[in-house]
Amino acid sequence: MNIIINSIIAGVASGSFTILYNARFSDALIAGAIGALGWFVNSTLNGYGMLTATLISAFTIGIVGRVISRVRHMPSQPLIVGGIVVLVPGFMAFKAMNAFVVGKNTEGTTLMLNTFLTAAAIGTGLIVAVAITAIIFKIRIRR
Amino acid sequence: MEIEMERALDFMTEVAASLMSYGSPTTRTEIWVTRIGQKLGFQVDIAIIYTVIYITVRDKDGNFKSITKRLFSLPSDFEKFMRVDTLVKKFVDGNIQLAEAHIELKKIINDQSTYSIFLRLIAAALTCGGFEYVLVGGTMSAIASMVLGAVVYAATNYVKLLNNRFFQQFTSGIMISIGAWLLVHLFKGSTLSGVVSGSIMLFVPGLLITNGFSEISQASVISGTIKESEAMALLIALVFGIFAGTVFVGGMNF
Repeated sequence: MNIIINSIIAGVASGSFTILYNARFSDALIAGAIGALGWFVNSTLNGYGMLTATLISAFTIGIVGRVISRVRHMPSQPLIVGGIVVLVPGFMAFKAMNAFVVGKNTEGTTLMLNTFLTAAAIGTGLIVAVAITAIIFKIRIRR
Repeated sequence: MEIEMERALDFMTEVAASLMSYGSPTTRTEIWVTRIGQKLGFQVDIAIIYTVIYITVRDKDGNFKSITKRLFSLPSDFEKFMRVDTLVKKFVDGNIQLAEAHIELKKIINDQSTYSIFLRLIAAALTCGGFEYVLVGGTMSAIASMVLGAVVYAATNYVKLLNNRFFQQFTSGIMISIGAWLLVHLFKGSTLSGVVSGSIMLFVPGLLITNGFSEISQASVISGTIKESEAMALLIALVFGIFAGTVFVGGMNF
C-alpha cells in the first residue's frame, strides 16, 4: 500500500516537474503516469539492489515513453525526462558533495561513485529501451 | 545557387539552435539538421558541442559554406521543442516549403505563451513536496519543502539579479538553508535535512548528470563530458550556498 501511495506522489512530482519545463498539460499527465510507474518498478525491485532496480525501471520508462510517443506522433524526450526525473540521483549527488565539504571524504567518494553508477544505470536502461523500440518499429515498417 | 545555400544554412542553423535551446538531445538535432540538408540537395556535416553548433553544407559542385553558432542559454521548453520538431518533420516529408517553414519557425521562436506564474509556483511546490516525501519521508517536512521550494523558485526565476547560473545556484543554496531553518520552527515535526532535501530538488542538476552519461554512450563524448562538468560545478555552487546560509544562521544565534 505504501509503495502505491509513494508511486502516486512520485507521479505527481514528475508531472509537476514537466510543467516547469513548459510541457503541454496532457504530456505532463502522461509523464506523471510514467514517473509513477518508474517509481513503482524501482520500489518493487529494490530488494535486488539499487542499481538493478534503477536499470530496470529506467528501461521500463524508456519503453513506455517511446511507445506512447510513437502512438501520439511526438518526440519521446518530454515524456522520458518527466518520467525519469524521480530516478535521477540528484539528492545522492548533493549528499556526496555535502560530505566532501564537511571533510568526510570516504563517505563522499562512496556516494559520488554511487551517483555516477546510478546515472550510468539510468543511461544504459534508456539506451537499451531506445535501441529495442527502434528495432521493433523498423520491423513493423518493413512489414 | 549560393543564395539557396545561404538560405538553407540559415534555416538549418536556426532549427539546430532552437532545438538545442528547447531541450532536444544532441543526436536528434544532428539527425534532423542533416535530413533538412539532404532534402534540399546538400551534403551536411554537423557537430554540436553543447552550446556550440558547427554546420557545413556542400553542394554537388563541391561549393561549401560553414557556420558556427554559439548559444548563450538553454532554457528548455518542451512545448516549443515539440512544435519545432513537428515543423521539421513536415518539411522533411515535403509538406511545407523552405520559406514557409522559416516563417513558421520564427513564429514559434517569438511565441511567448507559457503557464501563469501561479501555476508554475504550484508545480514547483508539488515537485519539491513530492520528492521530499518519496526520497526522505515525513509529511510536515514535505509541506515545508513545498512552501520553501515555491518561494526559492520564484526568487530565482522571476527576480533575476544577475544572469549567471552559478550565482543563481549559490544564492538559491543560501535561501534554502536560511528558509529551511526558519520553516523548521514554524512546521512542528519537520526536520532540517528533510526540508533542505526537498527544496533543493529543483536546483540539483541530476538530469544533466544522466543526460551527460547518455550522450557519452551515444558517441557525443565531448558534449556529454561538458554536461557532466557543468553539473558538478552547479552542484558545488549549490552546496557552498547552503553552507554559506548555514554559517549565516549559526552566526546569528537565533
